[in-house]
Amino acid sequence: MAKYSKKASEKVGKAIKEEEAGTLKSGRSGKKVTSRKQAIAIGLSEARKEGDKVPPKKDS
Amino acid sequence: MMAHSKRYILLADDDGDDQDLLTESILLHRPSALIKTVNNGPQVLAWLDECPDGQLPVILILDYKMPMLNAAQVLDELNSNARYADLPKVVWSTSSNRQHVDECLSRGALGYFPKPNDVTELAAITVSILSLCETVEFLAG
Repeated sequence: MAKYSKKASEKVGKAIKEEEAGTLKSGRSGKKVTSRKQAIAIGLSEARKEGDKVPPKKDS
Repeated sequence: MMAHSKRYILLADDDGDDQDLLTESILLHRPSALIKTVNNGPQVLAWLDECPDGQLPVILILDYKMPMLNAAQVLDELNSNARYADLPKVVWSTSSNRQHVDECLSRGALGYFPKPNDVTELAAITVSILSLCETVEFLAG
């Protein structure tokens, strides 16, 4: 499974907690993040947890 | 600007969250990837202008709606310089406006991707972009 930086892992974990609490905001704009971004951030986090990676490209 | 001995992806997007999401997705699929980010069109042009020959990015990803210069305008600028003729460019955007798509494709973008609504769509975009990178690397030998 791919390794991710501690900072990245913490960032996503924090985002999930904030999303669950309904307080997730963009770190840059301070605006509440869209559901699109929330959904993707959560999906990426889950993919990392599961080691969900695309199969390696087959050599032709 | 720093010199880059390793091939890298240059991502231009004024939305920091989208920068982060695409970067995360690329690294999820290709942990060894190197991604550099800028925030607007003029920064793209400045970055490339300062790049020595042989250190251009393997691919340029442009958000369509950026301040000062949108992706089509950046492509116009790049097309005026033969140095960037072989630089692969793709565009992604929250807009799937047909006019925007046509503007970019007619200016040499290899692809136009509406920004994803979920991680599956993001993965598909990521795979497409990485496939383009691999094709370019293969053709470059």
